[in-house]
Amino acid sequence: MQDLDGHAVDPMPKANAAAVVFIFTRCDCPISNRYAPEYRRLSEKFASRGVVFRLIYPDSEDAAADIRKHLTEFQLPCEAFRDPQHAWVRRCGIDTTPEAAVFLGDRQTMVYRGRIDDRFVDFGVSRPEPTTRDLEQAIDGVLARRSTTLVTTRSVGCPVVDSP
Amino acid sequence: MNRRIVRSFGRVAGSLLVILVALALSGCGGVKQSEANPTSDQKPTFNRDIAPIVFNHCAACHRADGSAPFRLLTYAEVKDRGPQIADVTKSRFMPPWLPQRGDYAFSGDCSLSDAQISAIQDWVAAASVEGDPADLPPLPKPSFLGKPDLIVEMPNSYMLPADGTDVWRKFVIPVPLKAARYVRAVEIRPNNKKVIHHATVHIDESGLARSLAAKSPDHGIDGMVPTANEHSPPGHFLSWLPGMVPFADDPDMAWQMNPGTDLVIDAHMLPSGKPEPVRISVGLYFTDKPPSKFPVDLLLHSESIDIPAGSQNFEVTDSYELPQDVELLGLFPHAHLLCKVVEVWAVLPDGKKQTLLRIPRWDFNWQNAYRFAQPVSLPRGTTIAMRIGYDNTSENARNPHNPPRRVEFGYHTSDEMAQVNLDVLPRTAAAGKALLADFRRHDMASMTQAFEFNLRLHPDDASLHTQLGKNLVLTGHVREGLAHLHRAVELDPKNAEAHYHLARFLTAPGQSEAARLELEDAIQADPNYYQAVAELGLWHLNQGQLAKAADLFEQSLKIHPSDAVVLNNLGIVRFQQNNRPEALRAFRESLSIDPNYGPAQDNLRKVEAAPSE
Repeated sequence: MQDLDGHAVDPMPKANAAAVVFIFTRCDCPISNRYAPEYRRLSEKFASRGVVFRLIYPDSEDAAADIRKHLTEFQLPCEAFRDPQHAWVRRCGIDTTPEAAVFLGDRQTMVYRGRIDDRFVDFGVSRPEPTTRDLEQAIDGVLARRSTTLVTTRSVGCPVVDSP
Repeated sequence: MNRRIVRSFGRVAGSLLVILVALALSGCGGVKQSEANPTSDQKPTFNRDIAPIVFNHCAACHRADGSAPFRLLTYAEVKDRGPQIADVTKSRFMPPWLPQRGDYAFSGDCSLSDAQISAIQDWVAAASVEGDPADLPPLPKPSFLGKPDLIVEMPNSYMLPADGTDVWRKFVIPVPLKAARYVRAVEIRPNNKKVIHHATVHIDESGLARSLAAKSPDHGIDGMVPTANEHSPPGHFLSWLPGMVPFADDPDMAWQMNPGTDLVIDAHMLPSGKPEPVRISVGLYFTDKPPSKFPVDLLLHSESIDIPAGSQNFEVTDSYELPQDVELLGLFPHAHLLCKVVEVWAVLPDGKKQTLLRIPRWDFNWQNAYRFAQPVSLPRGTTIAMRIGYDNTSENARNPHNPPRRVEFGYHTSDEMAQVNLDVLPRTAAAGKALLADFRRHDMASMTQAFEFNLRLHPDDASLHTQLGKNLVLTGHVREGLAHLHRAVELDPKNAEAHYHLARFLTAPGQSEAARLELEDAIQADPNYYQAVAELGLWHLNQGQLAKAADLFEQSLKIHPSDAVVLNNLGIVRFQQNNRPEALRAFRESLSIDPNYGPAQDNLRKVEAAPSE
């Protein structure tokens, strides 16, 4: 796992947080990009409540410069990391971008893994509006101390292919 | 149901009759049929088995400047996306081609055969081997029509918002023509293929769309609702889909573009997550060769749509028996988000049923015009029929309503439609006129039924009364028709169209004065209603009030300059006023707009032959 300067880092925040949210994305995944305004909305909604957001780019083709450009173009609000060796992909059990993983404030317990919401049903099949905002509900659950065990959903998007 | 929607019923029955699919069409570029199927005893390799499929079926979009989000041009790129490719080809989401293979092949069919889909599955399952470089075929070259004779561009950029659902917006591009030209091809050139999902082009000779766009802060018009005067060029449907290659139609089928024409681009755009500037240009290819083949369009359709919430089996049908031999060139189905299945078939005179089009899983986003690889000969007595079925349950993820709601006919995506344009080539131009006349008779009867159906749902809708009234009068039911028109102005005294049609149909002796009053009411309700202004001019001409008639014709031409009929009428007035030069000018101008307009040809000849004073 690297930061955008190429240093090996742990993307988990050092300090306590109310919750930690990892969003796995890639520069050229259209479904993930279409969620950019939703990432902004969620991070604005939860930032003041101690929720930390991290973007993780698992595709080895996404170089640091591409990611920087991507963050600017899509006005993505949080710190970004590269995971070309898929360490965090494996740790969280991710197979698609976009996909989110939500951890409790203990930074150990993962309580949600899956889609941002149910807007995309399949490739080429999407709802005009989501009917369930899964990621938002998961974060709300952590903040309300309701979430203790892992909930998973299936995400529609670009498959994360095995690392080379 | 709003006024505009109902008003457009008339358009459906009228000008949509002459639309057609002359551009064509392939969603996926040229497809060669030379791909080898893998033999069962060999492990599939990229170079030998997969590259030919990907190059011919995917690469038209999945290339550097293509519309697809990523490239599929090399082994590494295809291997990287292998599982996804296996997934989306198996589900037939990609390549995006909706029709099942039926009794007749379409040109540009980029769908994969079952064997090709299995080959991809096997290749991905068996470690995505690259294979012998000697087997790798060359990449297909994109095809070009050459440099357009004229390129026009949206006068202003449109900024597509980062967020939200799909956007349908119309943009108007004026075409600076000094004289009428024959158009042999139209190339739609999106500046930003990543967000422009598809686009269609209509023409507007009235200036109406231009004035609507000028009033809009983003210079666009709601893309789902047809503006009153836009239409496809007679005999041609113009569209752009990802991967489509510019295509020149049969050289004998060029269409005439008149001075004053605006292009109305209807763009379907997908927000990408960041604001995107959109500026579409259009390349026009002209020819000096006048057309010798005149295809016409027949529109199978139904507006008798009332889909209950939760219904999974609502369907509408329409059919038409051909009164003469034709060749079917192509077809273009249209419905919205609840639509599930579209079927079009022909029952030949001997009773044999042939499938023309079957789309088992309709997808609004990938609607397309389909052109047959070979024209389909349909003899006189053949019945062409359509069936369109809907799913208004919550199982249909695209359902615009959550929870589902009752849905009726309308142009917005939250309404539904049911149309199939049939692009047919009659044997001669005269046969085409006869065919359209016969079809119009058939269609007027079915339109009456549709208006009656919708009036049962909305008994006080003035526009529906207007349309039904007009239809009834034109089909010989004068008394009932006038009653509906009177009811329309009673319900909505400011309904310009109702006043106008009342005036046109008040032709019995002693009704002349009433007709004039109706026309004046129409113009008062809508001062830009140039047809009503011209009609009032005609009224004064018939009364021998030449100066007043000339004023009104001039006024109508100010609103809508390129009207061959009004110019001809103005010429008649000028001639009667002994103003020979102005009469000549008006007839010539009329003919510059429509060189084939008979009355202006006759009048010009007569005035030229008349001795000048």
